[in-house]
Formats: sequence, C-alpha cells, structure tokens
Amino acid sequence: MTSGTTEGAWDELTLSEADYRRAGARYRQRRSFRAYLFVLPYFLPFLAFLVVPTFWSIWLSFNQGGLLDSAKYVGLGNWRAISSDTELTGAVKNTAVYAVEAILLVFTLALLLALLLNRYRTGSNFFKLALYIPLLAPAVLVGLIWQFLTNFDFGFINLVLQALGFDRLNILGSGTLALGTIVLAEVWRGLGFWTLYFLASLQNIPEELLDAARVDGARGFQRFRRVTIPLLRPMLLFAVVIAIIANFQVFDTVYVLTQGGPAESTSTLVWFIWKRMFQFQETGQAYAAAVLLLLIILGLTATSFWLLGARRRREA
Amino acid sequence: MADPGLTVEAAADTSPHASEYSRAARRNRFFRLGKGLAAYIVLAVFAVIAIGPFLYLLSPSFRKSYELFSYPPQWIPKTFYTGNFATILHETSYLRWGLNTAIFTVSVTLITLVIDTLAGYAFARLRFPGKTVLFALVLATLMIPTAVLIAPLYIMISHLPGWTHSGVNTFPGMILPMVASPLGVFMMRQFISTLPEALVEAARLDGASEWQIFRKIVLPLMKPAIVVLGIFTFMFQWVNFLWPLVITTTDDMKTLTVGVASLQGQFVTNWGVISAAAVMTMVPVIIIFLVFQRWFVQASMAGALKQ
Amino acid sequence: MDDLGDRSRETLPESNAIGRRDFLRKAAVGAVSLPVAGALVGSAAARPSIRVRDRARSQFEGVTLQFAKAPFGTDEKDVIAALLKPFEAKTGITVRHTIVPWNVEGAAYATNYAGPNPYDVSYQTSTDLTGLGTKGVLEVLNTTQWLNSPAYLSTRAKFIPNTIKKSTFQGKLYGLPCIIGGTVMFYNKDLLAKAGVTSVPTTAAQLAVAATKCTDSGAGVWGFNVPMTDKDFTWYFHYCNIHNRGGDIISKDQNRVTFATAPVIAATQASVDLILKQKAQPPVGQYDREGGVALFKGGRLAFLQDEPLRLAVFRKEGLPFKWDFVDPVGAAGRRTIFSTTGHWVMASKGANKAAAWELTKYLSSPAFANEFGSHYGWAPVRSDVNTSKGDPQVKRVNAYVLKGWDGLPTGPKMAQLTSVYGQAIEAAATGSKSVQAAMAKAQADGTRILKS
Repeated sequence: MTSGTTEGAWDELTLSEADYRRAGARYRQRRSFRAYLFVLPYFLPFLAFLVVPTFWSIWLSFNQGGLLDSAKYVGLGNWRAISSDTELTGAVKNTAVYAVEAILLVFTLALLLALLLNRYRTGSNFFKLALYIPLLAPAVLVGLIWQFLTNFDFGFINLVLQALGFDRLNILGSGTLALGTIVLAEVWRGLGFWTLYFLASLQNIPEELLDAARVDGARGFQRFRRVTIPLLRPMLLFAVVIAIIANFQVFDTVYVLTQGGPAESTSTLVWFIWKRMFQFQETGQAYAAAVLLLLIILGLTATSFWLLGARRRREA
Repeated sequence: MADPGLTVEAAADTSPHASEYSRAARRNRFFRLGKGLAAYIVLAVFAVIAIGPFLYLLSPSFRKSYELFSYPPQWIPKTFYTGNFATILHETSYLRWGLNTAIFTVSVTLITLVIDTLAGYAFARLRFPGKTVLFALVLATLMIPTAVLIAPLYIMISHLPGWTHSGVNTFPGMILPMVASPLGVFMMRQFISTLPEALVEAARLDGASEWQIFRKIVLPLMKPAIVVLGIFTFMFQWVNFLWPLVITTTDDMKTLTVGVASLQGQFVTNWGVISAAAVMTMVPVIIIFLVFQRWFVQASMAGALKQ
Repeated sequence: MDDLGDRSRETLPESNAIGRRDFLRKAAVGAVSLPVAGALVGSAAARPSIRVRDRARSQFEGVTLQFAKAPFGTDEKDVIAALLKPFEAKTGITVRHTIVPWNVEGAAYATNYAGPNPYDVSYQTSTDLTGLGTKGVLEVLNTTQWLNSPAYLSTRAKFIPNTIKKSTFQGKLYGLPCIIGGTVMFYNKDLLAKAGVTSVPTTAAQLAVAATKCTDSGAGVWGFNVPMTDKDFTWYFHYCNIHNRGGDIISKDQNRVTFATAPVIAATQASVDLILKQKAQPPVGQYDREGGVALFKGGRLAFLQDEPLRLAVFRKEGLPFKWDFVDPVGAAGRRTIFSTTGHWVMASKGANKAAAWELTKYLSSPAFANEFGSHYGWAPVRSDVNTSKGDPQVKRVNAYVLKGWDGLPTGPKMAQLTSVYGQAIEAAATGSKSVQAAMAKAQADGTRILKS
C-alpha cells in the first residue's frame, strides 16, 4: 500500500485523519474481499445443499407432511406427540449410553495405537493399512460380518466361548449385549480413522520439546501428561466434538444388524427418526426428533468447547 | 538422540564401577527389547482384529448358502464353489456400479479437498467480518443427521431444470450435494491453526500475496491433514448408502453399496451371493489403497522429517 | 507453539518432492480418466437398442415408463424383463425397471414420490398403500377412467371381491391388487418320524405337543420356528392366530385399537409359551427369520412357519430330507390364512397415466401374472389367472390361501399399528414384559397413534 520511496513515506505522515481512515478501510475491504474469495467455493454448495435443507427441516418439524403433500401447520403438536412416546425416551437413553461407551473405548485404543505407531516406525505402514481396512466396509458388509460373528451356532464369539467351556450366548437377543455389539462394531470400524488422526496429531508435536523433557528427567508417563496432552489440546477438542456428533448419529450398524431390537433396546435417535419418517410417513414427528437431536448435540458440543477450548492464555 | 547404552559402555572400561555399568547396559537393552516386542504384539493383535472378520466372510462366499447352518458348524468349505462370484458378474451390473462409485467418490473427494482447504485456511488465518458467525454455522450443520436432509435435498435436485444436467440420475446431481462437508472445513481449520503464525506473518511482511502464502507455505505443511481428510472423505463416500439410493432410480446409475443391497431378495437371502458381493466391493478400494500406498508413506514421512 | 517458528520447515528433501509429483501425476490421470471413462461408458449404455418391429403404430409409441419394484428373488430383473417384452413390442412403450431393495423401500418411495418425476408404476404392500395414497401421490383407481371403465368391467368381475374390498379405504382404491401371499407350515417328515409324531398337528395345542416332542429328540434340534421380531414382520405371522380366535387389532370402523382384548392376548400368549414355557422354539434373537429357514434347510427344525415363496427355493435347491407343508394350525375351531396383498400403483403426478394404466393392466393380466405368480409362489387374485401350471404343490398352496384368506384392512396408520403389535410380541417373547403388560402398552401407543 505504501509507495516505498522516502518522499512517499514522509508524505504519508501528512495524511488527514479522514484520508487515513479511508485508506485503512480500503485495505480492510481488499483483505476481506480476498478472504471471501477463499471461502466462496465452499460456501456456495454449503448454502445450497446444507443450510437451505436444514432450515427447511426445522420448518417441517412444525408441520405435518410437507414432503409428499402440502404442509399443515401444527405448531408444537409434533413436539407434544414425541415427548409422550416411550420409544423416544428409550432412544435418547440408548444413544447416550452407546456414545459414552463407544467414544471412551475408541479414543483409548486409538491413542494407545497411535503412540505405539509413532514410537515404533518400522513396519508401521502394514499396521496402518490393516487398521484402515474396516473403514472401507460399507454398512451392509459390517452388518453381515457382525451377524456372523455373533451368530449363535457358528459365530466366532460363541465358538471361542464354547472352546473355553462357557455356555453360548444369545448375543442379539439380549438388550445389553446387542447394544454392546453395536459399540464393538462401530469401534472396530472407526479405530483406523482415529488412530491415523491421533498419529498425525502426535507427529505435529515437535520432538525437541519431548527431548527437552526427557533430558530434564521426566519419565514416559510424565512426558505424556505434561507435554503431549496439552499440545494435543486443539486436536483433542476437534476429536471429541466430532466423536460426539458422529456417535450420537449412529444409524448404519443399528439398521443392518438389529433394526432397533430386541424390544427397542438398540433403538437410537436417528433410527427413531428414520422409522417415523420412512416407515410410518410421520414426517412432522421425525423432523421434530431431528431438531431435538440437533439441540442435544449442540449442547454437548458447547460443553466440549467450554471444557477443552480456549485455555491458551493459561498455558502460554 | 544419543544411545545411553553406548555412553555407559564407553565409560565402563575406565570406571571403578565397570561391572555394574555393563550390567545396567544389558538390563537397559533387555527392557527396550521387551518393550518393543510387547508393542509389536499389541499392534499385531489389533491388525488381526481389524482384518480377521473379512477373512471370516471369505468362507460363505465360496459356498452355497444353505450349507452354512449345518451342525456342528464347519468353517472350511469342503468344496470351493465359485458360482456366487459368477452370479454377481453375469447377472448384475456390478462393473457399472463399480465405475459409478469410483467416479462419484473420486470427484467428491477431490472437490472437497480443494474447497475445504481454502475455506479452512481462511477461517484459521485470515480476518474478515462475520468469520465467527459463519464458522459457527458450519459447525452447527454438522449436527444434523444426513437422513433428515435426504428428502429435502432430493426434492431440490429433482426440480433442477434439464439444461443444468444435474438432476436425478446424473453424476453432478449425485456429487454436488455431498461436497460441502463441514467436517473437512473444521479439520483443516484446526490443523492450520497449529501452524506457527510467525511463518505466515513473515511472508506477509515480505509482501507475498495471500494466494502465494497459501500455495507456497501453508499447503506443503498441510500434507498429513490433506491425506487424512482425503482418506476420510473417500471412505465415507465409498460406503455412502442413503444418498446414492434416493438420487438414482435407474439400475445403471447405482453405486456399489446400493446395488449390493438390491441383491437381497425379499425372501431369498442368498448369503453366499451377498458375501461374495461384499468381498468384491472391498477389492477395488484395497487396490486403490495399495496403489497410492507409497504416497501415504511419504506424506507421513514428511510429518516425521520435519522434526 | 508460536515461538518455535524459527525452525525451518520449508526445505523438503528431494525424495518428498518427487513423491508429490508422482502422486499428482497419478491423481491427475485418475481424476481425468475416470470421469471420461464414465462419460464414455454412460453414453454407450444410454444408446437405445434398435429393434425392428412390424406392428401397427400404437398411440403410446415412444413413451418411456419408470417401473419400480422390490424384488421377490435375486433373478427378478431377468424374469420381469422377459415377461415385459411382449408388452413393449405390442405397445411401443419402453419400460425401465428399477429394483428397490426391501429394507429401504420406505425411504426410496417416500423421496421419489415427493419429486416431480415419480415412478409411473410401482408395487406397494397393503401396509404402505393407504399411507402413500392419502397423501395424494397415488392415482385413485376405482374411477370410471381406470378400473370402472366400461371396457374393463368384464375383467374387473374376475377379481376376487374380498381383495378389492379390503384394499379400499374410505371409498378409494389406491392400487390394483395383484398377489396374495399367505402362510404355510413346512415340516420335516424325517424328524417327525424320529420323534414319534404320527399325525401333523391341526390345532395350536397339538402343535405345542408335537414341537416339544421334536425338540427333545435330538441335539441342536428345535420343534418350531416362526419369525418373532418386529424387523422380521412377526405381526404378519401372528395375525391369523388372532383371527382364528375371532379378534382383530383394530375395530371395524378403524376408530379404536383392540390390542388389550382377549383374542389378541390369548393368541400372543400361545406363541410366547412355545418359547418360554414349552421351550420348543428358539429364544428370540438366536435365529432371525433367515436363520430359521436355514435351520430348516439344515434339517434341524421340525416345523417352519413362513411364506409359500420358500416352496420354490426348497424345490430348486433340494432338501436332504423328506418334507411337505400344510396350512397353519387353527384355534378355537377356526383355521384362516392371513396376509397382506400386493398392489400395482400409479403415480398421480405421472407424465402419461394412460400409458401407465396400459402397463398396470398388463401386469395384472394372465399374460404376465401366470408366469410371475408361479415363479414366486404367489396365489392369484383373479379367477382367470392360473399360477399353478398344473403343479400340484402350488395348486395346494393356492387352495389353502383362497379357501380361508383374510386380509389386512388397509388404512393410513396400519404400518404403525402393525409395528406396535410386532414390538409387543417381541417384548413379550423376550420375557422382558408379560403378555398383558405388553398388550396394555400397545393399546396405549395405538390409541395415541390413531389420535394423532
């Protein structure tokens, strides 16, 4: 913006305040314009294909119908209908239990594996490849695999139990075991992604810091707690938020494996929404439940940001 | 990093505590070997857990389906029956489905990578009015389950005029709605914000334009993140079921997941055929994987080398 | 992290630069070639096949109809293509047939009918028919334009009256009935002989005894199985038990649900007892519907209650034991067959409804239905359609079905109510609720659903 010659530089000092402000405004406009150019390619499809349908969905939650036929405004009618539906309260509970179990399990395992892969680099590509493979499996396949694994007659789990002398388990016939199967299936599926993610985050941490700590006498776990974890914080925040959002929306595995059974013990929120919308044609109630899901996730995400977010000032 | 074992041994010869030092060195080496072995055992266990179930599926794909429930259960088939694979290749549009899926997945991944990185950089390092509001909006849309958006999206796409070539049963119609992934923007923003500001500031002071900074400085450093996002998007879209299901009404536009699902008859679930189809669904991806494996290795090494 | 910026990260080693170029090359090749290949293949596939026909030009020359159906079998695409050829040749209409998977047909149809270009003709079961119909997306068929037109009256008379009656809701018929399913009970003659069961049971009480005997006769052998989970449509198989005891789950005027009535409770209790009391049926979850069929095929199940469609499969694959089938056991002196009907429906927003009606008529006619019905074991809804082709077993199935057939009353909430019943059966059968408690909950849920 400045001309760069000495005469120009001295001239600038004699700019009036108004000129100065205008120049500043022009600079900021140019800067913002460039920034908008960066975000534009994303925002066009985003607005068209995410924002518009989202607001449409929210509006639909206050109506009956609206997709196949014309919408009929019912205000809070849908909300009242679903609040008295025991399947919904059950679904909220099941989803919460599932999410807690799944997130704790997958994060622990992924962090452990990432630490190992970070430390022992030889042959790590083979392990990375192996862990990626479940990610490639479509839901139909995951359902098939776990149906086979939990099968009463020839499922691997029951074969092992028999070999160890225990009774066989009717896994998909028991509420807690069925939910546990969903947890295991989703953890098995997501482990590769989270391991890769934590590995990339660990590799982001400069080795010198850890070396310095080691030289200062810090042992392995102390190094992990005092150096690694704080530096991982922004990545951890992302991980927790994404994990909450993804796991509260668990659907694929429920759909192919249990369809909410047995006796609605694996009915999750999105499964409830799906049934209402596509099996019963109750679109209003389905969208009301969807908005409820959105509010729940919003609340949990805000809590995560508050707990794990901007504490940089304390650290620096 | 200096190897403590060596220094100890170097000192061992001259020190009065020579024997203690060499014993300590041996214990040290033994511990490290032990830890290494334990680590590899753990990794191997998880690798088996990850791949094992797929090998489990190989067996039914080589049998006729009613053999599965014999008692006591036999896992190794007595005769290898390749009819299931033949059925899939001859009686279904499997190859066409594979091609559709490849086009769909690759296109979505490439477009997503480009626009997400650009937007992520803007959110992380550029200043413009409305930044926080827009980012909050991006995050908020992450929390809507896709199942809910499918119906409105379909209605929108199906009403697009013909000259756009982006209606139902077209590739653009299938690809474009999947491109705006809030997850990608979020991830890129987080990664970019861990890069040191000093680097970018220095370049700015030197008069580099934003685009040059982005291309020459930020982008090379983003490799691990781009790899992660690329893999994730690719996987996610490969197994995407709901959206391709509703946006394709003709058999020749279906993707693999949708096509394989249509193999399940109402009453005759031919488990042999389904297992074979599932196995075949994984093969193309594994091949692509192995082809690009070298690049994955180098990208991870880039992350390691910068240390 | 900021004060570490003095570490230079800008010099990347040579090998990395080569790697990047290498990847970019591969990616560029892939990104360009795949869409190009796709476009080439796509345009090749879209090229219409040239057929030479010599026939009179029909008014529907060049019309394309979209036809969607969830498949009865894995070969349905070819079966339908072959059966539609004469129709396409005669009328000049091109029919594009899409397979819609069963497990997602609700979603697929709900979205498709919401758009401006819905499937012209599709197949709907009586549970979904009225739900879609009352939303206005299905063409009402019992009008003088279609079903009641003078030209079609003689054909209309050939329909089994009960099928049309049960498919009409508030005076409107949203789909043309095309098939009746039914339920039969397959049984393993060898296992019965081994267990000392001399006569095939005809009542629920006899079944309980016979099944228990068979279960005790061998390791890993079960006496009876019928789908017991909502996801396997258990309500469908239990409905006839209610009918046999003179009841229903909804009142005749469809204003009240009747879950908490004696017939429903008695019917469900008998079924639950087979699992929990007599232990002649596997616990819920051990074998789903397909698992039960596979059990039978593997010779480990004495009595299998399922749809007649299995007949074709058993005969094609051949079972390693002697077997046969009867209609399901009765109770309280009655023995009915219950099922839903399948319908051919037309989209009300269809571009060419006259052409769609031609297709619908053809699908209903003997030219299509004889072969289609016999291939998949369906009983016909028209007196001029013969699906048995002389086959004695199929004739027997049809006789069972037509003799004692009772159909699900159609209504916009039936999909939900049958699911409520299914959930209640599931809850009672897993033992987590008593039958009374499960039916009480169903009554409460059903009442709420009817009100909404």
